[in-house]
Amino acid sequence: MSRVHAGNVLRRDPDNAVLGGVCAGIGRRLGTDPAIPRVGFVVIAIGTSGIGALVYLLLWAVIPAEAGVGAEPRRRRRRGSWRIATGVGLLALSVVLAFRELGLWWSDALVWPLVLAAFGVTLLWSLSRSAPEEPEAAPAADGARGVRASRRAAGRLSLAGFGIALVLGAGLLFLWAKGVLDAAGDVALAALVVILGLGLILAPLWWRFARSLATERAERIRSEERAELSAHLHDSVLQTLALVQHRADDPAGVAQLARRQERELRAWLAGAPPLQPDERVADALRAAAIDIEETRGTPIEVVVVGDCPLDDRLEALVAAAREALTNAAKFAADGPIRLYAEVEDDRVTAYVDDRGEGFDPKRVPDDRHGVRESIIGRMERQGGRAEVRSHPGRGTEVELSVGRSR
Amino acid sequence: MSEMSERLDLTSLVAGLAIAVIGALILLQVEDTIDLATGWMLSALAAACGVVLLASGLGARRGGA
Repeated sequence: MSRVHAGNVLRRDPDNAVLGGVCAGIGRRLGTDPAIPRVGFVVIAIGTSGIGALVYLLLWAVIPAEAGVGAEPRRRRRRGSWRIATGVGLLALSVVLAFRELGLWWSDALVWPLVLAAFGVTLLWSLSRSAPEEPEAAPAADGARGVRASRRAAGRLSLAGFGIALVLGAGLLFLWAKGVLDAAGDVALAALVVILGLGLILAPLWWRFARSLATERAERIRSEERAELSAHLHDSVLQTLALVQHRADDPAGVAQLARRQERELRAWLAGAPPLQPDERVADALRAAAIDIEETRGTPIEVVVVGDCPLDDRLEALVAAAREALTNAAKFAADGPIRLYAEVEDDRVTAYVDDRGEGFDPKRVPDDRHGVRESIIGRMERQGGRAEVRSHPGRGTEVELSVGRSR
Repeated sequence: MSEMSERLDLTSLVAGLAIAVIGALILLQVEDTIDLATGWMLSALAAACGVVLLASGLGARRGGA
């Protein structure tokens, strides 16, 4: 949780620093590529005749460094990144224009090409970083994945082209401003005409080539998905069917095998990542239900809305839910048993519900600690609440609720 | 109070303030109260657009987190 808090405060990030980690810290705070604030600072430093560099030094001195930050998880492109990047770029441009009006300016011939080149380099730098990998999806989505991959590749290619054009344009602008192009004006014009002509001639070929590449890539992805589907069917479903044949005289065992296979297949079709029961509360609840289901052989329906990292309080909630599920599996073996949990901003609530024989909570002997200690006491020690509602013959519902750590 | 902050649209607020500032600058310019060069006006426009885009991007991130 401390990491979450640390993310809300602006701190330098020396682990990813080029100089002092100021821009890396700003980038992390905004959730964007640090190249964007870095280039913004370079542009401002150039456009303000060095005053921006002094501001950087001041920020270096004022902003505290992040302590004990290990390897940061790989950055992923998040919503609003382009708007934030464009906004930062326009603010940098505004500062540069203001300093130009104030007269704190080297020359148009130097600064504007540098600004253009800086934006182009930022674009190329961002694109050169590895693209976020798409999580494994269901085989049914393979066609859509191929199309998405092709579109993404085309988009990256276009942006790379735009970045290269910006850098080349900056170089040409600088040469033109310095008068170098005047001398070679006729030669440059001739070369430009030839390049344009070649471009027009080769454009259809290039377009066809790019499309065939995209089609081939989509076909390859589809082929790989088919191979993966075959391998998965062989390793899981066919193996389970073979086991079912061998254990035909054990209905409970067969039902358990079928239930496990169903769960695995559903998770695979949904493209669900592997469970992280030691880290996420939703996975911990699901793992507890699976464990009891396999131990007791009673099907448990699990619905968890939302998710958050585990901490001491939530571990207590998971342990109490596990105890309630164990009781339900013991006394309502014919099912159905349901576990419903909801993760809200400030608290987590879980309900364990069965339609078993039920009991009268007031008549539970004092020496029985299952409900009193393992569920109610455990929740109360963590500042939470547990309520057991049960009536003989009408099943039992256990409600568990605990606030989330701040 | 919490309901108010939930309803607050940061992008609209920032855009409204930016337009008000730009409008005030143009009004003062027309009334000859101030004499703004084109460069200053471009700088103000770039800053306004930048702030609105930044607020919009951060708002989208917060809403989608």
